[in-house]
Amino acid sequence: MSDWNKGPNSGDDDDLNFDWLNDDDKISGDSSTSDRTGVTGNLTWQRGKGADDDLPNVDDDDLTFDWSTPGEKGTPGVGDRTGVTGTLDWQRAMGGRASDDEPELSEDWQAALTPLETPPPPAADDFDLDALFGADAAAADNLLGDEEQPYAEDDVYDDALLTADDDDLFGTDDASWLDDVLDEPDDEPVAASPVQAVPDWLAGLDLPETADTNDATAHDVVSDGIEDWEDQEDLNADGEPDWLSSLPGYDVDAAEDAAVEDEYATFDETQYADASASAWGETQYADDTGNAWEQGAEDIEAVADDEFAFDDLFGEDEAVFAPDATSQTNDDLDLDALFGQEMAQSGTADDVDALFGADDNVDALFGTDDTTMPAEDEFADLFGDDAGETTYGDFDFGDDEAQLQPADDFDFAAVASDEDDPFAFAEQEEQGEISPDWLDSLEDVDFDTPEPAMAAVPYAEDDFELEDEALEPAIDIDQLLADLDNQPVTRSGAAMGAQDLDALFGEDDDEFAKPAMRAAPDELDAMFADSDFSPAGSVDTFETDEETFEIPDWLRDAATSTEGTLSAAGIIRQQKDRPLEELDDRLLALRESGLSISTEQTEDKASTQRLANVLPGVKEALIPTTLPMTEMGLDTGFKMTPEQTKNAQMLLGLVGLSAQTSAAGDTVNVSNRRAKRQSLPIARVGITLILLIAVLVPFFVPINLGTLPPLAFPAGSDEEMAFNRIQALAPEAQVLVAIEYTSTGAAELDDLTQMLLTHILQRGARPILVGTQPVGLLHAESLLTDIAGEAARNRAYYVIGYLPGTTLGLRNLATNPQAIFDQDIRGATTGLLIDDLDDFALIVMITENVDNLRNWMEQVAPSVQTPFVVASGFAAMPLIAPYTNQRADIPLLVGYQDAYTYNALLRGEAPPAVPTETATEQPTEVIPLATAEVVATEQIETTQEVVPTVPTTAVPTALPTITPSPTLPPTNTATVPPPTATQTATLRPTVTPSPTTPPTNTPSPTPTIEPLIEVGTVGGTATINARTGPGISFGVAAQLQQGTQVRVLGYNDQRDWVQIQLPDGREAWIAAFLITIETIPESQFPTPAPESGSRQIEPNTAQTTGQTQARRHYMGLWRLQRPHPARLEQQATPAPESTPDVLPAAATPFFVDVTVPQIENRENRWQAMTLGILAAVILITLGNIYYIVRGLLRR
Amino acid sequence: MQVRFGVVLISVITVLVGAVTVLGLLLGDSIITGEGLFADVIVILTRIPFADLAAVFLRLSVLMIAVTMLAGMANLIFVHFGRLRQRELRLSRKLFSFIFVLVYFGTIAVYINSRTNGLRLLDDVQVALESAFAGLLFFALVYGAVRIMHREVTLYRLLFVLTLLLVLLAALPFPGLGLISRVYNWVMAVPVEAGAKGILLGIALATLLTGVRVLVGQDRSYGQ
Repeated sequence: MSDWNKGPNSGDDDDLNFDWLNDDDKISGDSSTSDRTGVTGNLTWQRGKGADDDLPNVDDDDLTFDWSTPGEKGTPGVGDRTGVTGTLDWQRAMGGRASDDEPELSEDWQAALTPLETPPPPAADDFDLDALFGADAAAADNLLGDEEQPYAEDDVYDDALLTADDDDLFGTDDASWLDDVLDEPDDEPVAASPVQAVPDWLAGLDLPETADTNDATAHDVVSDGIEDWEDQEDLNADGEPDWLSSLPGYDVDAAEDAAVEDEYATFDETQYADASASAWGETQYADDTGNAWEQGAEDIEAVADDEFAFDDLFGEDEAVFAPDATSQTNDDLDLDALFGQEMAQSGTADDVDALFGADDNVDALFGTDDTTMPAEDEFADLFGDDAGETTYGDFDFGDDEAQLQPADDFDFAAVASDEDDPFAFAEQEEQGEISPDWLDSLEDVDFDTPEPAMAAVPYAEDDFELEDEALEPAIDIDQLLADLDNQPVTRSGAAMGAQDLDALFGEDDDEFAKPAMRAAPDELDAMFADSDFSPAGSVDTFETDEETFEIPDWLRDAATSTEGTLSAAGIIRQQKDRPLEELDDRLLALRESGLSISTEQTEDKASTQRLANVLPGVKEALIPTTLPMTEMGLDTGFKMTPEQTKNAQMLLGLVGLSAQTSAAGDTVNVSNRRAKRQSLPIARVGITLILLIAVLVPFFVPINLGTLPPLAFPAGSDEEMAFNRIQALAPEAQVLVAIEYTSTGAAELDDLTQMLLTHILQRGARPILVGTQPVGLLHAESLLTDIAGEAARNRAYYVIGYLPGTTLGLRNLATNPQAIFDQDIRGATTGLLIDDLDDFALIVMITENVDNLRNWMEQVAPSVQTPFVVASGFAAMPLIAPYTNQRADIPLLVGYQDAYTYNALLRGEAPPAVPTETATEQPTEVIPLATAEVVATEQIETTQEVVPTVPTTAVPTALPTITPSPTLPPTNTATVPPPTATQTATLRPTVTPSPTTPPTNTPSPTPTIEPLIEVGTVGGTATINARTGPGISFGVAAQLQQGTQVRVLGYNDQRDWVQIQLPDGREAWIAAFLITIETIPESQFPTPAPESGSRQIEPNTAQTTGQTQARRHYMGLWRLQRPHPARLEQQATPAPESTPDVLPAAATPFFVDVTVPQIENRENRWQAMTLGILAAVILITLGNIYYIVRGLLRR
Repeated sequence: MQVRFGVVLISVITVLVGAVTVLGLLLGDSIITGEGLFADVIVILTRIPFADLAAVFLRLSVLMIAVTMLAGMANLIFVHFGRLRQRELRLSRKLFSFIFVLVYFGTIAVYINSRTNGLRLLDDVQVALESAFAGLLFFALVYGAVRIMHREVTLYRLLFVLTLLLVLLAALPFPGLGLISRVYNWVMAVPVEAGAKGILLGIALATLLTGVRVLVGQDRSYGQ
C-alpha cells in the first residue's frame, strides 16, 4: 500500500485516505462529514509545516472538489474554473506568508497571480485529476469533456510552470522531490517554453483585482483581461496570439487539442447562455463528430445532445446533424443499434430516410444500402435477385441513388416519366445507363407462335418468374364443346340466341379487337411491339399521344361515349356485333351449339325491363330466362345425365324425400314431410304431460309410494357426524357458513340451508354468512332474516357479503380474513374480531356444484384446522365424493332427503334411539386402543354424561371405579342419542355403557379388574420433540427427555405417529420409532410433574383454543404457512378454554329463540319426487326399447 | 420486428406479480435460517416480505374483479341504451331492451327504497323463475334420454342408458332394490369416483401448467 493511501496517524507517512473507501466518509456533499476532495489526509510535504505555522486550516491544502458540492457545479461565480476550490500551501503563501520551503515571489508575479475578485465558474468536468495530484495553478485538466481553456499541467507534471524564470516562484524544475511522494512519476518533466515579451498594449492594461483564493495562471489572467483580443492580432492554431500561449499557465499539452474550443474560457452568466445556445450544435461538435464519423462509428466521441433516454434505449445518437454531411443524422430512434450499423455513406436522403432519418435503416429491413454488396436482400425472392447490381435496396424511392443501378424488378424509373420525377429513371434510360431486364426479356419473346391462353411472359431472371413453358389449360374447351353436341342439354330457358360472345365484346377493331379475341400473343405482341407503348422508350407513358400511339377504336369509343370514363358498361354500350366470317372455329361452334338449344323463351317482361335499366340498349345480349323453382329444386326442364339423376335421387333419399319420376321421365315430386314432422311434437308433448302429471298428482291425491326418508340419521353415518358437529357447538361459537349455490339450486338446497341455520342458531352459535355467489348469498340472507329476525342482525347472525373473484376471493379470505369480517353486506360494522379462520368453531359449506367445493378445498381448507360440514345437491354428489371420502372428517349432506331427516331431527320427531353397545364412529386417524375389560356394577342413567377419564376433559363421575372403554380422546365423536329440542349443548360425547347393565346409582366399592392402559417411554439419545400433529411439519408442542413416560392415546392411520398425553395434560404427537409402548395397569402409571420430563413449548397453532375439534387428516404439504406472528403473540399466554374472538365483554350475549317449522308439504314433495323419477324411468326404458327394436328391425 | 412496449410491459408486470404472489403464498411468514449451499439465497429471499406482497396483490386482484363486474353491469346497460337509440332496429328488439332497462333500474330503485322489498323481489321473482327453469330441465333431460337410441343403436349409447337407469332406480325409495343399490354404490365408489378424480386432476394440472406458462412468459396472460 502506498503511503498516500494508508490510514491516518501513521507517522511521517502520508496519511491520505480515500473517502470512498470508508462508508462513513463517502462523499455525500456534506462538508461536515468529509472533505470534498474525496481524499482525506495530508501529503508529506504538506504536513511539514510545523505547528508554528499559523496558516489557516492547519497546513493542509484545503482543496475541495467543486463538483462534489451540490449546487455549485456549473454555477457561475461560484468556485474557480479548475473545479477545485481552495488553496495550496504555496498559494496561501502568496498572501504574504511565505513558507520556508517556498521561495518568495516577485512582485510582478504576485500581482499577476492575484486572484480575480470573482473567479470564473469551474470547469464542467467531473474528474479533476488536479485535486488528486495537486491543484493546478491554472484551469485543471479534465478527464472527460471539453476543456474550458488551455489548461496547465498539474503541479506534479506541469513543468511548464517550472520554467527557468519561475524557479524562484515554484522552485526548481527538478521534480525529484516527487519521488518521495509518488512511486513513479508518470510524466517526464516538460521543458518550459520560453516566455515571449509581453506586447506594449498589454502592459497598460488594468488587471482585475484578485480574490483570496485563486489559482489562476498568468495566462488566465491575461486572457481574461483582454477584450476582443481575438481581432487584434493574428491567432495561432490555438486561437490566440503566440505570445499569449507562451505565458505561464498555458498548457502545452492542451495546445494539441487546439481544435477544441473552450466555451467556458470567459465564463459569465450572459456568456453562458450565449455559449450554450450558440456553442451547441456548432461546428465544433460537427467537426469533431463528423470527422470521427468519417473514421467510423467507433470513433465517435461526442454524445449528441438529445434525449439521453433514447440513447440508453436505442443506442447512442449520432451527434451530427448536418444536412450536407455525409454522416448520419441524429435521430433519437437509433435504428442502427437495433438493426445493425448503417454504412457510413448513404448519399442523399430518400423518402425512406425521411421516415427513419438519414441513416437509411430501411436497409436493415430490406437489405443494406451498401453500394458494393450484392443486393441479396429479403425481397430477392419476390422481386428478383439484384445480385451484381449496386442498389440501395429495393425500396429506394429517393434521389439518393446517385449511382443507382435500378436492376431490381420494380424499376419505377421505367414507369415514371416526369422530368421532375425524383426517380429520374427515364433520364438514365435515355442515357443508356438503365436497361430494365424485364423489358429486354419481353423483346425476346416470340409472340407469333400460337400460344395457349395462358402464355407466359417471361420476366426478368429472378426467383419470382412464371414458368417458361406454356401452361396447359385445365380443360379443353374444344372437346367440351364437342361433348355438348353429343349430349345436348335441354333447357327451358332460351339460349343465347343469335347473339354470341362477340356481342359482349362489341364491334371488333381490326387493329386491336381482332387480335384480342384470338390468341393473346398476337395482340400483345402488337401492343407491346409498339414503341410508343413500350415503357422503355417512352417518357410519358400515361399520356395518350395519338400521334405515336394508336388507341383502339373500341377503346376510344367507349371512352368518348362514357365521357372519358373507361368502364365495362361503356364498352358494352358500344358493342357491335362482329361479322360471322371473322369468328374463329371455336366461337362458331359455340354459336351453333347455342342455336341448337331449344328456343323456348319465357320472357319476363319485368326481367327484361330490369335488364334494360341496367344496361340500356342491351336487349339481346342476354336473354332473360326464368328458372322456375319448386319446393325442393329446380324445374324439371333441366335434363340431367343418368348419373346425375341417380345421385340426386340418392340425395333426396338421404334427406327424406322420395324422388319419383313421372312418365315423362323428367319430373321430381317432393314428398310431403308434414306427416313426419307432426309426429315429433306429439311425442314431446306426451312425455311432458306424463311427467307433469306424475309430479303434480301427489299434491292433490294422497299417494304413499315407497318409503319416506328416515327421521334420524343412521348411526355412524356422515349425516350423523354433521349433525353432531353442529350439535356440539358452544354458545356464541362462531360458525362460518358458505352459501355457494344460486337460484337454480335453491329449490333443492333451501330447505337444507334453513335446517342448518336453524340448528346453528338453536345452539346459540353465531352463523356468519359469506359466499362467492351473490344471488345465493342474498337469498340466504332473506332466509336467515326469516328465521332469526332483522333485530338479530349483527348480533346473533352476520351476513358478511360477497367475495368477488371466486378462487382469488377465497384465497384472500384465507390469507387476509381480518379485512373481510369488519363490515357486513350492508356496510355496517360487525364488531367481529377474526384474525384467522381457525377462530371459527365450524365451517358449513352449502354448494350445488363441485367447482365451488373444489375452490374451498383448495384455497381455504388447507390453511385451517376448523372442521367442515358440506351440504350439496344430488347432482353434484358424485363429484364431491372424492373430497369427502378422502378426508374422513368431512361429512356430507345431500339434497332434499337429508333436509327431510334433518327437519325431523330438529323437531324431535325421531323415535327414541336404542342405546348402542359401542361407540361407533367414522374412521379417523386415531385408532382406539385395546378395549379394557369393564365390569360395570353401577347403573348409569342414560341421561347422565359419562366421560372418559382423560385429564383434560374428564368430568368427575359418580363411579370412580368405572372406566368406560375404549379410552377415547375427548374429541372423538360417538353415537349419541337423538337429541330433543330441549337438549342442552354438550361438549363431549357420551359413551354409553353396555346395554345389559341395568342402570343404577349404587356405586360398587369393589372393582374386580384394573383397567390397562398403554404407556410409552421416550427413547432416543437426546431430547425428543412432541408435535402438535402427526408430522414433522407441525409445530413442536413440547420436548421430552429420554426416559419420560407418557400415556398413549392413539395412533394415526399409518401407525407411524403416536398420540400421547403430555405430563401437563396436553395432547401431542410423537414419532412411533422414538417411543417404546407397553401396556400396564393404569394405577401403575406415574403422574410426573409437568416440569420433570418435558419442556413446555409455546404453542404456535390454534389448536389450543380449547374448543372441541374433530381430528383432521392433515396434509403436511398444506402446512407450509405458519400462523401469523401476531397470532403467535396472542398465544403466548395460555388461552382460555373458549378462545374464539367474540363480541366485546361489554356486549350482552344475544340469543335467538328459534323454532323449527316443518318443511312445507314435506311428504308430498317427497312423493312427487318419487313418482317423477319413476315416470322418468318408465319413459326412458320404454322409449329406448322401442328404438332398439326398431333399429334391429331395420337391419 | 415491431415490438409493442406496452405489451412487453404488461407481460413483465404480470409475471412479476404472479411470481411474487406464488412465493408469498409458498413461503408464508416462515423465516428460514437456511443452511447449506443456498443458505444465503434463502435468507435473502425470506427477508423480502413476499407474504405481505402476496396479500396486497390478492386484495388488489379482488378489488379489480369487483370493479370489472361493475364495468360489466355498466356496459350491459349501455348496450341496451344503444339499441333503444337505433332507428333501424325492429320494434321487438327494442321492446326487449326497453323491458331490460326498465327492470334494471326498477330493481335498483326498489332495493334502494326498501331493502326488504328488494330481497322479496329477489326471492319471489328471480329465485322462483330460475327454479322453474331448472325444473324445466327435468323434462328436457327425460325427453332426450328417451330419444337416445333414436338415430342409431350403439353399445355406448346402450351403456349410457343403462347407467342412467341404474342411478334413477337407486334413487327410488323402494324396498327390494338391494342389488341395484349395491351395484349403484359400487359404481359410485369405483368408476365414477375414479373418473371424477381424473377430471379434477386434469383441471389441477391444466391450471398449474397454465400458471407456470404465464409466469415464465411462454403464454400470454389473459386480456392480451
